[in-house]
Formats: sequence, C-alpha cells, structure tokens
Amino acid sequence: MVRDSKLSSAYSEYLNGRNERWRRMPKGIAFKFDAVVAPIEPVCTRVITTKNGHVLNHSYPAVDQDQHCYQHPQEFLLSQCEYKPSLSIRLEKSEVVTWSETQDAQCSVMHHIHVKDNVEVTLVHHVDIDSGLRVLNIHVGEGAKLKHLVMLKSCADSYAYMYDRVRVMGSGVYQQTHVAYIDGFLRRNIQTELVSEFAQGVIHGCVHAVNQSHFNDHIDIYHQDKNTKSCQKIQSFVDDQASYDLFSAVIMDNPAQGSSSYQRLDHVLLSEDANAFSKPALEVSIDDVKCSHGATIGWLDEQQIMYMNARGLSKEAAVKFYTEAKVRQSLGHLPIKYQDELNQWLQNKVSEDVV
Amino acid sequence: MLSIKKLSVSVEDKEIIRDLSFNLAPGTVCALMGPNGSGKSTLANALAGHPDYKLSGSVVFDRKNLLEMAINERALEGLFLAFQSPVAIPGVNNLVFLQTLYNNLRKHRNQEPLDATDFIQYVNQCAKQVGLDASFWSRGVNDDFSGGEKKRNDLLQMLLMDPKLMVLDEIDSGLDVDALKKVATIVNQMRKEGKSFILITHYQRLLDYIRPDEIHVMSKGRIVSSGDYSLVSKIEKEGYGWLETVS
Repeated sequence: MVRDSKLSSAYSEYLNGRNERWRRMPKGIAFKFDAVVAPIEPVCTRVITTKNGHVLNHSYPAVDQDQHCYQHPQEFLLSQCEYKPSLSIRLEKSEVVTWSETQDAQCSVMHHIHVKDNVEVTLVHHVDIDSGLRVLNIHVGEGAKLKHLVMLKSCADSYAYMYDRVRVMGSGVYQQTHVAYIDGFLRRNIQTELVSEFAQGVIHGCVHAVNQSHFNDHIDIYHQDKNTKSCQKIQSFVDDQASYDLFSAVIMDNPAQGSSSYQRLDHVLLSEDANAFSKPALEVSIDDVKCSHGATIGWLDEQQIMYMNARGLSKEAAVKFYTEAKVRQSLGHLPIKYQDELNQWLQNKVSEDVV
Repeated sequence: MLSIKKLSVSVEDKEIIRDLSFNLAPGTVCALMGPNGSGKSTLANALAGHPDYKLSGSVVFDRKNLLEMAINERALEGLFLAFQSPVAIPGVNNLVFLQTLYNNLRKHRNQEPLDATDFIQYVNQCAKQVGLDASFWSRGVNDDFSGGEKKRNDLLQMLLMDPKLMVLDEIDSGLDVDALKKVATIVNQMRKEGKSFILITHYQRLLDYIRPDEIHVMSKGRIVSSGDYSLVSKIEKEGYGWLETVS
C-alpha cells in the first residue's frame, strides 16, 4: 500500500527517535464522546462483515456510507472534528455473534455495541486493521454478560489507532479475551468503566509482536461504584525488533468501596533487539478495596530451553512449544472450542510470518 | 557405546575437566564418584551438549561424533541426561510436554505419532514404574514439584524416550527408599536390554541395589582411580582424603 509522505515520515520519526507524543497524549482529549449523536438504526445479525465502517453483508441497509471522516488519526485528534457513528449493533438475545472487521483506508469509523439487560452474548470479533482510526463503544446492560473474543491483526507497515470504550452496568460482566498479532504501528486504548454496583470487567490478552512493529497499549479500568471487580492478565511475546509499551491502570474513586482488582502483565522477549515496557498502575483514593498488581519482563529462560533441547526438541521447536503453551494458559478460562480457535489463529499468523 | 578420549571441558576460559578418557560398553553401568567440584556434573552436562561449555578431545557415541551433534540430536539419537536439578517450566502442561517429546521422538524414528488417548494409556503405564500418577499431568512441568517428584518426572521422560545411554546425575538425591528401589529396578531391567548408564552419586545405597560394573573416581577434573565395587566401600569408609596421595 502506498502511504502519503506525512504518514511515512511520522512513522519513521517514531521508530527512529522514539517520539513520546503518543505516549504522553492526555486521556481526556482523545474524543468528544458526549457529542456523539444517538446510534442509527441497529444491525441485528449473527454474522457481520464490515470494511472501513461499511456493512458488507447488505441485508441491513442501516449504514450511511458518508459517515466517515477521512482524516489521519493525528489530524483528527488535533482538530477534534465532529464525529458520527457508522455502525450500531444491538444484541438483544443470548447468542453467539461473529463480526469480521477490516479497515485499510485512512478513515475514522465508530461502532456501537449495545448488549441488552440480562442477556449473555459471545462476540467472536476478527479485527484486521491496517490504517486509520477505529472507535468501539460497548454498553453492557444490567445483569448482561458479553464475552468478547478478539483476534486482532495489525498489518505490516500499518499505522492505526483503536479506542475501545466499555461501560458495564450493575451486575453486568464484560469479559474480553484478545489475541493480537502486531506487525505494524498500533496505538490502542481500552477504557472500561464499571458504572454500577457488582459490575465486572475482565481483560485477558495474549500479544505477539514481530518485526519492527510498535504496540502502544493503554488499558484503563475505572471502578465507579461499590463492589465492582476487575481483572487484567496480559501475556506478551515480543520478537525481532518489535516493541510493546503497556500502560495498565486501575482507578478506584469514591464510591467504589468494597471493590477488588487484579493486574498481571507478563512480557517475554524472544530476541535481543526486542523491547517491552510495562506500567501496572493503581490509582486508589479510597479505603476498603482490594488490589494487587504485578509485572514481569524477561528473556526466554535459557535453562528451560536447554531442558527442552535435552529432551529432543530443537531450539525453534522449544520456543514455539513454550509460547504456544503460554498462549493456551492465557486462554485457559475459555471453553476448549474457543481456546483452540484463538490459539490456532495466533499460531497461524506467527507461522505465516516465519514463512 | 561411548568412547571418550582426552576430553577437556572449560567454562568461561576456566578448565574444569582435563584429558579425561574412558569407555563404556553396551549394557554396562558405570558409577562416577568424587568430591564436590570434581567435575562430575560438568561432564554430564558437556555430554548432553550444554551450550556454555567449550569442549576439546573426542567423544564417540554409538559410532557417531557426539561433539558435532546439536543438543536435541544427541537426545534423539539416544543420549539422556537426568538433571541434578531439573528446571521447572510453569505454564507448560506436563502431559502435553511429555506427549510432545514422545511424538517428536517417534517422528525422528519415522513412526506415526500417538494420539492423546493411546498416549495417556502408555504414559500411565510408565508412570506406575516411577511412582507418579495422573495428578501430575495437569500441572506445569516440574512446577511446584518436590525434589523427589522432579527426579521421578525425569525418570518418566527417560522411560518414554527409551534411550541407549543414560546419565543420571545424583538421581538418588531427594528420593525415598522405595523410589530408590524403583530406580534400581528400572536400571537393572534396562541394562539387561543392552542399555548403558553413567550414575553420578555420592552415596552407596543406590549402588548397593544396582551393583555397577565399573567405578570411576574423579578429582580436579580427572579420573584418578577406577575399579570395582570395592572402591565404593573404601570411599564410604575413608572418604576422599586418600585421593590427594593418588593424584
């Protein structure tokens, strides 16, 4: 894909000079969510295919094709232009929904997912993002449960920004499990707000970054009411000259008494030139809460590799076996069917890269 | 089976083993003894192909030049090292690991891989011999295993891999008396099948059950004394003080 010179220079500027602008970007200025108008007529189907915000399976004529902002993400952020949603998905009964989403134009799109009260939905979500800005607003109703299984691919030489904003109402559960294959430049924000009592937010992720990619990942969980629970477990593998910066924060403010959170961020470096940065943060301004957090970054243990070699596995096979096992461990909370699907997807992407 | 000639091993330019030579015939068990730091474990790791060690000399294993083989090739060709301290690999399921290494070996031998059902049946049979049960399958490899359990798990891997030459580095440390008897039973059974062993140990008890064919005593990176089982009794009575006069 041919890139405009501005984009290419920004990309190389980042790679060469480790420009800190993206990292320092204040949380509040990103988007004017309050200005967003009500979602347009919803899409209700079990299989959805979208490209650059357009619905490709045409049985749902609800999407206006002119609702894109064709702007570079950084320009968009700076100009704070007026923004309209492009796709709205309303999930009103307990079911499994598959959504394949592709974005390869330098446009900005916004999606809304609304999970009705007291329904349990599994959303299998393929995201193939190459360029532009993508915003996803998720609303999980009272007593509802959304299992969001994300297979995220950021293409080589891509330059994209993703923003997921999740609001979980009373006793609702949002459980995201993502496997991400990163080969480009991607900035992602996942902002989860546990709005009412007994709401739960769970983010499990497994990230494999390769080549010269850079993944700038921000996961923020806001406990906004009492007795809310959150859990974050991220396992990453950073290979080649890739870098992965993970900023994870749990924010507990009045009246979040009785809430609990758990953060665990583990990074494994697979090459000498790979690097990872991890910042598990707790911003707690009240008493009577339970929080724990931890992070590790390290090389693949040579003794472990030697042990596997001594049992007949080659070095490459040992590394592959080890990473697969860790991915499986990260997906252990899912039903076997989905464990297999997500694991297979990630391994296929890694194999394609090796080939 | 194994022929070592003038083997020298150094780590970070420090020579640990110097001009070591010995032969091991098929179906024989040799015990390697010696004071701490004499180079026994270094020899074991060097034979297995530890990447930190620099080797010179010649080592022929089963008519092949061992020093030209990668670590995994040595294992696939039938050299097994039971580590003095097996490492834990948390997160890597023990049963999956066992199945992977077993099927990898079958692939090397041009055999069809065993499916999960058949493998579980087979691994359960082998596990009985070393005193492990199915409760260890769902755990990480050696993760939170006791010292003895780690040794048993290594022995289980040994049974699965069915090697030609086994180097057991202090296999008796951490094992209870019953487990020692099981190890001895396995070793005695396998030596009848023409398999060879190098047993590295400090204690007489395991050797009482196994009765090795040869005893070599190492000191300062060299074999300083060789003999039959009477050497074990001498070490048990006198310790290693007499080695200074010998060397």
